[in-house]
Amino acid sequence: MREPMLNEHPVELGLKGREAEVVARLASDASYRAAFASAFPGEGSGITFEQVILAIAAYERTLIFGRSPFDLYVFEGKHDVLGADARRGMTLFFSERLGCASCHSGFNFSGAWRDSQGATGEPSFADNGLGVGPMRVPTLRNVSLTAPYMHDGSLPTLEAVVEHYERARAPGLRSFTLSAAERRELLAFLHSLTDPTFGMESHAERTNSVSR
Amino acid sequence: MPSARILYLDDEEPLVFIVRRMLERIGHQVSGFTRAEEALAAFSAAPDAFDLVISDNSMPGMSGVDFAKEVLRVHPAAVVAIASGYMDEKETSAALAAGVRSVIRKPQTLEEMRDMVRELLPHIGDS
Repeated sequence: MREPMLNEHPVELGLKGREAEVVARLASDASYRAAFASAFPGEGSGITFEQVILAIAAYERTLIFGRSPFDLYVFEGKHDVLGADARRGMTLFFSERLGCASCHSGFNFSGAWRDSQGATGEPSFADNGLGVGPMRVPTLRNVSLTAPYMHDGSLPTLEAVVEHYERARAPGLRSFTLSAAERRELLAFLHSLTDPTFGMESHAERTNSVSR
Repeated sequence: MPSARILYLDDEEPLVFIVRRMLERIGHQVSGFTRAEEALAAFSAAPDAFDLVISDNSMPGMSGVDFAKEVLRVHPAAVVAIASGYMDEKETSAALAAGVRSVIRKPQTLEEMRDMVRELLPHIGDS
């Protein structure tokens, strides 16, 4: 957690030096005050930045997924889960013509290059065509659930994101034009990266869904 | 028929986990590694213990092609394949010239992986 929150070269979340502001904003909300007091009993009434880190890390450990149609198709040989549109979209995604996978690479489609210390290296940063320079490449897993899109949330739908990349001009971005059918196929592939059991409210709900 | 003994190297741990499970499900034995130097140490300690070596290409510290060269230096008869998200023709040619037997594009499906093992190790079956 500390790395994306506090790193400066490059900046990701940009919270270095703003720890007190983060804590103050959370502490101004009664529901957060109650939740932190409940999660960290015996540690006093105030919220600390360390507790914020621990709380987010605890939440992230619950974000378990791996049964998207893409995973089932590629790793488990279940061909019927991925429709013809999504399969053609997968070919487009990994094609040199579109170049999506040159940034959204690796198991998590996030440019997963790590150096020997495990830190994210330069190849995990790319220009998204919105004029702000290299940004951390976000994962595309569960992308159907993570609107709005781009670093500033300026694009409301995946359709808008694909159309943006058709128009965008920036270092490292390919120029391409999609037919209506190709656009539909690429979107079908992007949606296939979402685990339908991800984001369910409870473990029981997840277990019930998986066992159906 | 015997199963293949496969050394699988990729710097992404989830992929090592899932590909190992995939290959084990079709009957092969897999030793998975996320660091080239550890994979190389294991291979050097027992080069005859592996029928096939499969490596990622884009890894910190050592590329898959350089890893393949080291493996082949230790054991010139080793069968080495590279699974890569992206390699252009020049890189692919360099890998094949270095003695790599096959270059497969990631993500490789269960069937593509099974077919590659069959092609490279025709004397070994799978389930």
